[in-house]
Amino acid sequence: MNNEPKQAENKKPYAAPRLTTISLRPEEAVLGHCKTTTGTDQCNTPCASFLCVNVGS
Amino acid sequence: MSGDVGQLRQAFSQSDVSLHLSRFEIGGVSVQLRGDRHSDVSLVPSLEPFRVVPGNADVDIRVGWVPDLPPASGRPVFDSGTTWDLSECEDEFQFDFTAAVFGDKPFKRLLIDRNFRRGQLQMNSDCLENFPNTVEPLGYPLDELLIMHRLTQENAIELHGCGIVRPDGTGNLFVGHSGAGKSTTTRLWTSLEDVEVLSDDRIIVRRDSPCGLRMYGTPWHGEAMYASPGHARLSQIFVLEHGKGNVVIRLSRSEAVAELFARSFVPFHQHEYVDSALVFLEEVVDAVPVYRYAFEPDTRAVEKILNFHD
Repeated sequence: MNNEPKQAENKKPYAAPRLTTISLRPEEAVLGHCKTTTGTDQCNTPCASFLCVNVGS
Repeated sequence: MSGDVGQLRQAFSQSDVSLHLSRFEIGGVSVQLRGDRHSDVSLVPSLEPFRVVPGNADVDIRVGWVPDLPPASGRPVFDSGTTWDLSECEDEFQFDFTAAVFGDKPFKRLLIDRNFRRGQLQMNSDCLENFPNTVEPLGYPLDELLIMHRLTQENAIELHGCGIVRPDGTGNLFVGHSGAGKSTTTRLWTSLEDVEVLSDDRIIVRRDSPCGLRMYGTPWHGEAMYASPGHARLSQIFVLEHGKGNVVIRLSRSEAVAELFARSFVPFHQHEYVDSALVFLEEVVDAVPVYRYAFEPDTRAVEKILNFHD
C-alpha cells in the first residue's frame, strides 16, 4: 500500500529559522538584591539582610 | 577542608542532640531546623504560614553558634554581588552571608551537601552577639536559596509569576519580569472574582503526576503581598507584557521554554542545574499551553482570559 500522500499531508510546512531575542535580567534572577536601592541609594540604614525589609528581586 | 574550618566543624557538631525543632514546607519541599535554642529555629513571619509539624524532611539543617567564622577557604563558585557568595569544598557547598556592618566577615555560613539534603548553619557569635533578637537564622535570602537549590534535584522550578486559582479550580499562572504587571493582574482578578491567589510574585511549578503539573504559592510575595501555602493544578501559563488591547498569542515550544527560562530562578553557577531546568521546562510546555499576553491594566484584561478558548 502506498501511504506517501498521507505522509505528505501530515508533514509540517517549512518555517525558516528565525532569531528571537529573550531578555534575561540577572538583577532579578540573583536573589538578594535590594528593591529599594536598585539604581539609586534611597535607603538610610546600613544594608544588612537581617535588618532590611527591602531585599528582594 | 582547612584546619580552621575542620576545628569549627568539630566544635559545632559536639552537641548533636537538638532540643528545638521547626519545620516548614514550600513548593513540596520540606525543611527542618534543629537547634539548641528556641531562637535558633525561629521562623521569620513570612515563613509562619508554611510551618508544618516536625517530622521527616527533605532538607535537614542543624543550626548552631561558633565563636567566629574564618574567610571562605574553598574554591569560589559564585559571588552574588549582594549579601552572599558561594564556594565549594570537596563534597559540599558553602554559602557565606555578609553585611556591610560587619565588613568582610561572614555573619553566618551554611555548609550543605551537594544534594541539598543535610546542612549545618553556623551563626557567628562575634558578629551577632549584639543582635540576639534580630537575626533569624533562615531569613531571606537563605530560605529562598535553599529551596531554589533543592528544586534542582527534583522535577520542579521556581518562576517569577503570580498564581491565580479560579473558583472552578482552573490554575492560571501569569509570569513576568518586575514591572510586567503581576501585582496589577492580581488586583484585577481579586476585584472581579472570588479567586485564590497563591502568590503575586513567586510560584513553584512541579510535576505531581505523569501528565500533570501543580503550582504552589511561596512566602516571597510582591507588591500585592499575597503569599499562600496553597497549591492547585496548573492549567495554562501567560507571559505578561504591557500592550495595546488585550492580545493572546500561543507561543511555540522553543519560544515558551525560552520565555519561561528568562523568568525562572535557577542556580546558574552549575551547568547541570541549567540543563535540568531546561529539560523540566520542556516538560512544562508539553503539558500546558503557554501564551504571550499583551494586556492593558483594566478589568477587560481579566474578562479576556475568562472568555478565552484556544
